[in-house]
Amino acid sequence: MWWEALKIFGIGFPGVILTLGLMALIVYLVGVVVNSLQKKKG
Amino acid sequence: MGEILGEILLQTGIWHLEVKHLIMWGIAFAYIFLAIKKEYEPLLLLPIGFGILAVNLPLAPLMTQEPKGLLYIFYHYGLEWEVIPCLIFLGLGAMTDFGPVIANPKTLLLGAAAQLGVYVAFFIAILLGFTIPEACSIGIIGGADGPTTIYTTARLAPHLLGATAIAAYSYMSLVPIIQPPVMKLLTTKKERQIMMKQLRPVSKTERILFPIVMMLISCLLLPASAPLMVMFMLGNLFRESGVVKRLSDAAQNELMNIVTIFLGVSVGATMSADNFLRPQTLMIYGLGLVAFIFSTAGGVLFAKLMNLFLKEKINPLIGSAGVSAVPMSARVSQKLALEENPRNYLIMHAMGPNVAGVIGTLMAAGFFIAMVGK
Repeated sequence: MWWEALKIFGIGFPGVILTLGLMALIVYLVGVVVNSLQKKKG
Repeated sequence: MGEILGEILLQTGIWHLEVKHLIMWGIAFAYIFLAIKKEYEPLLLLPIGFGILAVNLPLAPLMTQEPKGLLYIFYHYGLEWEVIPCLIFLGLGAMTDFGPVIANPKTLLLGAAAQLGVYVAFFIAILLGFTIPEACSIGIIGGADGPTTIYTTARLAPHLLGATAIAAYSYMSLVPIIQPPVMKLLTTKKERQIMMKQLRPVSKTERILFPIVMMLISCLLLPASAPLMVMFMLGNLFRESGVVKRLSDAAQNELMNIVTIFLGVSVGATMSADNFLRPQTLMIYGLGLVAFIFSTAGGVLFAKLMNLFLKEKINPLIGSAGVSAVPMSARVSQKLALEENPRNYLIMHAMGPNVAGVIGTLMAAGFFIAMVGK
């Protein structure tokens, strides 16, 4: 049981941070692309 | 004549009343009182309180499975089938402004770090003898997100639904009391005075792309989170597209209100005396508090860690807003910042981690369900 609990923590918590980190990176990149396209258009 | 009267008496609820029912009535009245008199989360506590009262009426066929009781039907199709939490998320999505997250995506990390309490409570729950699925359902209370707590518990430990839902909603309303001491303890006066640069404006295109991109990333990486995430982002797309105002309004108002009625009554209906009056329930309440404290600490400490690497420092008070409770925890950050500097308006900055916390809790729930779910 403890092994399973450690596995859930070891994968789960870093997993949440990495997933949201990846989301942050993609949201940032989308912002850069959209804004640069709009600047070109403008 | 006496025999007939005796038989009639046996068929009344009065004859079958026990002390445990009266205790539950007391709890029900306390909820109704808090909702009406103190206005603590009245939209939920009122139907929950009434649901508790109704389900603890002896012999009343409300939660019976055969024949199917009215409240059992609400519970079965609403919670066991996981329809209600998903519909609540549709409404929440339509009500949420993701602008602060889009303008400052770093705040998504604070929403993730504030899930620390979820995992701390998970471990302590196991230490106290709960099974792993039960510990996951208890831990997720730390996310301060009622519908996600209900969704996860309905999946992993449905017998704890009443206790976890009540703990989540109770602590959400206590955020202004629980968070400030932790935030003050972990920050210096100088840190609390940090002023942050105004957020950049966010274009409509970015706002429209955000729910689509977020849904794709989360559902591809963690399919277990899909039901809640899809509805959350669909609601937000209704709002941001600007072309379906009627749907957006319906999701935010009529649908949200209807679903809230069924949610409250169904959650209350799970709190029968036999289900609720156990030492386990007290432990769940205690663990919920632990989860909230560690989640607050996780967000604040991660903000301090980020400051070691950032050129433009962030005020660590916004880290605590990663505990989702929208918008209460963001307001708490704002209040503490204003106490240190009356010109330091942090609310928009704090809304970033606040809505990121909702996504963070969804991801934590997704990991639990993926790893433990039946």
